[in-house]
Amino acid sequence: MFDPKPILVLLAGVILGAMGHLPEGFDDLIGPLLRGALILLFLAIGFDMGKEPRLWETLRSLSGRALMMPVAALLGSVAGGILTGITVGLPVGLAASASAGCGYYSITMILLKEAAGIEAATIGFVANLAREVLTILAMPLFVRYFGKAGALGAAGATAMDTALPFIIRSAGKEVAVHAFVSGVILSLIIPLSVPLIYRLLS
Amino acid sequence: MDILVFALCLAIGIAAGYRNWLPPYLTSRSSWGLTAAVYLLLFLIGCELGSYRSVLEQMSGLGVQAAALCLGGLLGSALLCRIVGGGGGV
Repeated sequence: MFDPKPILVLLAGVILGAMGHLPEGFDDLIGPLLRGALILLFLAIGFDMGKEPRLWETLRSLSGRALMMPVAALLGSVAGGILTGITVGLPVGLAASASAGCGYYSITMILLKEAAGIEAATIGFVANLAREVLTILAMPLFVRYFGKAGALGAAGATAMDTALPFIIRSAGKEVAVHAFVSGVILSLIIPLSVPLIYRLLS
Repeated sequence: MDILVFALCLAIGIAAGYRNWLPPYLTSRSSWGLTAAVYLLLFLIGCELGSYRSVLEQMSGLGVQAAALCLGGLLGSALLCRIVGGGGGV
């Protein structure tokens, strides 16, 4: 189910910042703090991946086409984001990297803040949060017009948790494993692809 | 920060998890640590965002751009996955 905690944590920070209750020198501190926390974050993501031997076995046992799905979801998202981003006047690098988040709004915001600044981070956060909400609300429509594979792609990284029950309800139990694995693979490649795509296209 | 540093940290993390380099009391708390790191980062970014009045005042314009990215990304993913996976199954 949808977890509001990350949004509430972010909002608490926004309110504190807007009220001007931040300690003196906070602006100088936030850069090094963010960099340190990002390093810890990547170490923890890697550690979580490494300690799950079953994850690697499952990945090895899946067919090539099943493994292609998360890659297609990422590439499709980037291509679609570039097209619509250009029409609203966004730079290609920002449009592509924010769309590469595939619904993983917390990590996308953090990475875009580091790579491109606070405005880019805000756009990335709102775009990916809206994607997660829209995916859940419109899942039956995605299954109807884009098939089960298309619905799984639309869910992006959220296919492994938030959107999974809605995928199962609309597309059936048989896609659950594929949806979960697609979401896991996307969650693993998004932390690297967002800053990489920004760097390559900016 | 360089993407290579991120990739290196990820690789060190995978090796540490795979080879059990950390003591059990830390291993059992790694998922909790990951969540805490994400929340800390979001809180800090929120603080910075709140202190930038100019960004908050532009929110409606940023919202339109974000909505465009959301729709483009969603439809792009759905369309390409439909082409790769076919209409029926995956």
